Amino acid sequence: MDLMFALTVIKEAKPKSIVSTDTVNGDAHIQIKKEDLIEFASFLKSDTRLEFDMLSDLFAVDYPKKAERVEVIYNLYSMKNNFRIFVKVSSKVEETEYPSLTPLYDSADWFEREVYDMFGLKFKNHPDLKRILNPDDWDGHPLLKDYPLRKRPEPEEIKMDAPGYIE
Amino acid sequence: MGIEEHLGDNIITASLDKIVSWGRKWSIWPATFGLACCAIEMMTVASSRYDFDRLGLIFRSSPRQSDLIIVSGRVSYKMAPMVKRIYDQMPNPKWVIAMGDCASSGGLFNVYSVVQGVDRIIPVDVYIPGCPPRPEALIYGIVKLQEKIEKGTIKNEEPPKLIR
Repeated sequence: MDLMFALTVIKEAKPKSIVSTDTVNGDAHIQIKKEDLIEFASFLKSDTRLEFDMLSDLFAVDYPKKAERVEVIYNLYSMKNNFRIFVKVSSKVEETEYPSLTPLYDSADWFEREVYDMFGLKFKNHPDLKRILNPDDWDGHPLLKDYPLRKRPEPEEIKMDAPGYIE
Repeated sequence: MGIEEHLGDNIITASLDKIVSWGRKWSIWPATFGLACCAIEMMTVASSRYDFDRLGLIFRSSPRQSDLIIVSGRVSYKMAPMVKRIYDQMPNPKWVIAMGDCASSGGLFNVYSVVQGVDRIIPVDVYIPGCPPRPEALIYGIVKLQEKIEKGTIKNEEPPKLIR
């Protein structure tokens, strides 16, 4: 089964969830509706023809001029068929109902924490949603375009009291 | 701090200064501590081709046994408390080398997450430019530090302060 045939299979099975599809440099991109994400992903994972059994990456892009400014991109890979697709979902930053993919893919855990850390998108039902790259007490979400480019804490503001620290 | 406080200022302590400083100069023990790509160069300096054992430098695995911390790489705000803590755990007298552009001034990482020079959190003795500096440059920096240590004294000195 090749990727283009897989794309038609997906289009036939889930016509209502898909907003648009696109192929760029031999990669398939599918824009879907946010509320259908879990259902759509479980279809991709469980369908015996497709078997997208690995979430190899999950990242986000900020488009500050759009109303739904954060675009989350899922890079799903099928071990059996040796191809991958990119599933895109647009969302507001303040979205409270954004679904987490952790029930389906365990690898989504840290990826979603990274997206939360850098973009402030709160994934619903994530088991342990906290910052992963920045310090726990960090202010703001640095990869949003309206985050000041060179905003830095003063050295006096750094909390030097790591556990067990004695002045 | 120790017995040297009661020795006073005389010809014996002046000679003792020289002997102790000479000993310190040839037995700088750096803490095993690397941050980024400069740490790879630092490891190269410890390896057989450059071999800084011949200058008396032996990496120690505990900051309690170290006199020198080579800050080799960019210091992120998340890492800053750990760097400070390792420095604070080292016994006096202690020295700091800021290795590379990032540790000296932030370098090309003029961004939200990187401390713009490790001298904002701990006092630095020698700055080594380069991105990353070649092993020869690090050895030159160590020789410069030895020259500084040679002029030192066993008397209780004021601990170094942050300059900015």
